[in-house]
Amino acid sequence: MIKGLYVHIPFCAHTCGYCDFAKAKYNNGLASRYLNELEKEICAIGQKEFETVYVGGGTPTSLSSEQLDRLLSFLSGFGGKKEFTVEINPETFDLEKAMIMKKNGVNRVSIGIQSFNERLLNEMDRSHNNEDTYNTLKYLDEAGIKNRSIDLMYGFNSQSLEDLESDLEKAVNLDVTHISIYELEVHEKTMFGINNYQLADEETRYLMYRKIIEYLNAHSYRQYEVSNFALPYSQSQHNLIYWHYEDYYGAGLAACGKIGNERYENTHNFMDYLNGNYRLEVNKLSLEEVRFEAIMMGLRLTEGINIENYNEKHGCQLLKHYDKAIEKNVNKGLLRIDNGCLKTTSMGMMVLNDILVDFMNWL
Amino acid sequence: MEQKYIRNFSIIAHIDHGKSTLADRILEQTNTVQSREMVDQILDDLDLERERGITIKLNAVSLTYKSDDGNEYLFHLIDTPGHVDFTYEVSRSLAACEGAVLVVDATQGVEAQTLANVYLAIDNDLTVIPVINKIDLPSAQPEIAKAEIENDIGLDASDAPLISAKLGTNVHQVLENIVKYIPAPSGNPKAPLQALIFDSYYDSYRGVIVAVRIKNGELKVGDMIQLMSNGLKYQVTEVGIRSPKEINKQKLECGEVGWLAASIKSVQDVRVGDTVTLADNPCAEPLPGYRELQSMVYCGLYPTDNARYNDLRDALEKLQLNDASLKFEAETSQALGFGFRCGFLGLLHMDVVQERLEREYNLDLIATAPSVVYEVHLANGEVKLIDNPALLPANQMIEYIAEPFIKAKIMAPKDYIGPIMELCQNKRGLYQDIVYLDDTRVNIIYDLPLAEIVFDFFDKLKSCTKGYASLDYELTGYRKSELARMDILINGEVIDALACIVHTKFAYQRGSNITRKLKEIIPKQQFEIPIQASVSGKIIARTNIKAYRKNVLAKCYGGDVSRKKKLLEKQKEGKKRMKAVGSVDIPQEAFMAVLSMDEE
Repeated sequence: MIKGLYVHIPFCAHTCGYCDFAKAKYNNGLASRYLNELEKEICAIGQKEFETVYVGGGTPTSLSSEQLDRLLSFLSGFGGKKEFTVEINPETFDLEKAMIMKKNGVNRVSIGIQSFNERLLNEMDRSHNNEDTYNTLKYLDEAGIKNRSIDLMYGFNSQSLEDLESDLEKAVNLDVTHISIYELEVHEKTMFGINNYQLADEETRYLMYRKIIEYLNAHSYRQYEVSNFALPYSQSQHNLIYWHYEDYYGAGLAACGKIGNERYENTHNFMDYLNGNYRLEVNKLSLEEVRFEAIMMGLRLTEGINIENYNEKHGCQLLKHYDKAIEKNVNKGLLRIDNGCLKTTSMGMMVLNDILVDFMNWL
Repeated sequence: MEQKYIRNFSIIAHIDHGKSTLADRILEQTNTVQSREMVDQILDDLDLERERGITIKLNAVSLTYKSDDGNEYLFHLIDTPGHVDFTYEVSRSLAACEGAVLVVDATQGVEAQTLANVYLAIDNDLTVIPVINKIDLPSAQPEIAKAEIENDIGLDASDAPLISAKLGTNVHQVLENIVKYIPAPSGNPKAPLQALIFDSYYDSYRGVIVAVRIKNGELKVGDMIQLMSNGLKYQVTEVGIRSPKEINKQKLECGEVGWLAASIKSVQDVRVGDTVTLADNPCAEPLPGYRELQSMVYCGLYPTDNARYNDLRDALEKLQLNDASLKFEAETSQALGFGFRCGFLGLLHMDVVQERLEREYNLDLIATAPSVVYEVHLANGEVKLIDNPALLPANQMIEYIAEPFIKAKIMAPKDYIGPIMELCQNKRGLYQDIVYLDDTRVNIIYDLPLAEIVFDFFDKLKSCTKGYASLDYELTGYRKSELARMDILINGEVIDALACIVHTKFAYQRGSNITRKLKEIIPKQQFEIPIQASVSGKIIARTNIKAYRKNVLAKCYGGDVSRKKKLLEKQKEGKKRMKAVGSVDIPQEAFMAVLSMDEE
């Protein structure tokens, strides 16, 4: 049985300059046709029960209330007892949508707040404000959805360490169980990329990341992944599937799935998708790629990779197969073996890319 | 052929004034080469030469010309290379001739380099006959060009043909002037053989093919010959001429230019400028002007991938078959692994060899900065020749160091005297003389350390004179200098391949230039990397490459795996192109950074 189902809603009320996800401006007619096709794709999977269901985007809440209701009630037929998450953007959320979520069994939400600083929200081209943010939490309270995560971003050009600290302070004072905080990435084909947006300087971003880890850990939000922090028992069950390198289905425009050693990616083209041509490509991964990807994902977790599980799953001795890479990075104080797990040190987590490059033994 | 019907000549010209084009037209108009066989500028037969527009390998072509006087003449056209690295070779080629055709571009007039070559020809007692080329261009000013030839060089230009080598216009007149003005050879056919070697190349079936000019006597198949510089003896298996294909003959007569084969195994044994004579009937004296071949510049060549060391050796051996001036021997560097110390005639020669190794043999190379040969006088009286700065003995053992000096003759319009003198002064030059060639041109003479020339002197000279200056130099010997080895330390480790020998007066400046340059080139790594320059154990310059302390992908979920993996693959590929020295990854360009002489 496949544990997780990801569902992509590629619509937004407004397109943010930094975003490189597959999305289009919301349009009622197009969204309805899209949902028809999405339901078909999900039914075609043939599995009725998933431990976790995650609805992401784009902006799932950019759908009309009727469409959201239709989607969520459809998805409630596919499990999600362990975790049924929907992403929320504050500017497209209201009490009605909160009630729809509750009614259909949504037990976790992820709110795209990004910042509590309206100057920065403006700089990052977000269309919501703090009022929207606080209203969102109020609606969720009313609907009784208690398990909530927020997304924040940092690394903006004009952002100071004080700005960041103020965001962190506001975040931990909200009633949320989980905080994801990402450094802004500038992608070539986004407006930020085209305008050659300059991030805060390297040293500042490093200090910011340090501050984030320090601050959130000190406020009970324990880092469990590079960019993810949670109160006890509140880690994202769905996302852990990715980091544990387990299998998942992805449905919808541009969604990806991994089944065994095969990964597929759906088309990014709306017309193709609406015509039922979902798949862009299906790739068979080589044994070495699978072994590497498991490390690439697993080392993102502070708990690291359980060596015994790894050996069993990938048919090789982790410590032997990558002896040189491991020895080198252990000696540099970047990796350690602890309690049957291979994990990064706090210094190693900062330079995970350098560590991973040493594991790319096919290059 | 009787000597009075033989004419031996070269064509000399400034770059782009049309030397090769005129050679092509002469071959065509004497029916030596049919038009349909013509490849543009066929004398330059290496691709590389054609691409770079320079002639590296010398070549000679024989052709017959039926003159207007009714007689048939045998012409030998001897091609010459045109760069300062090859001045000696040029002078030996000229020594094989009685005359030279001087090509002057009607749109440019006489240029500095033209003068250098003309003087080289006059030094060799050649009769120089001028021609004015490119008269087909609208901007041609043949009268001004003529006046310049008369005033600047002192040659009579009244009879200089106005030609267009491109179109073939008046090339006939050039051929007539060759007959009329260039003297016939005047050797003694009955004297013992005395032949000048002016080129050689390796043929895998017949051994070394030697290009010779018979000065006296004659050379026959079957003759037992001797090379006078080294005494080696060989039996001649073949002789002939080129037109431009090889044509075998039974003998080469007095005054002729041709080639010989004698099962000679190595081009190293056949030295340009050497004299060939008969073993059993030798001439009394070798021909004058012979010089031992000397490598002026050395550098280390290392394969980026150490596994290709043997491929590099094979490639160097193959190149050496045809290039007697290339020297190499194995060396090891702590930083770069196994490689070769290679000796070259000059920087151009070095570039050409490096390029051929990379292109023709598909090798990725790291070249260390070029060095000259230092004479190190040790306290115990011993003298060591050092061509690799890393091998310089400890300071305490050294009495003094001497470095090669050259006499540089820089010809330029007089407006540039200021900048040229400033440049020479900055390069530790010692002023000798300024000679006014006429109202507008001067010869500036400086003694300069060769080490300063092999860096960027030539480029600097060109840029401070808008390209007008030309440089000719000859080695004049060694002089004691205040020199010391400068070590470069990266992350506290001495990198042997980055060591260089500097003048103590310039050490601070060089040290800070190099460390700054390295800081630009070496990418940030996980830890702070100090870069230091030290002389005699004293740190004279220091800079730090700050650590990057974060290199991690912020987001990596189910849909990101493929894309993010590609990013990591890119990082890995970049890393592979660097050399790991200790714990620091150093890109290839860093090893050339010691060349960096840019002032602030």
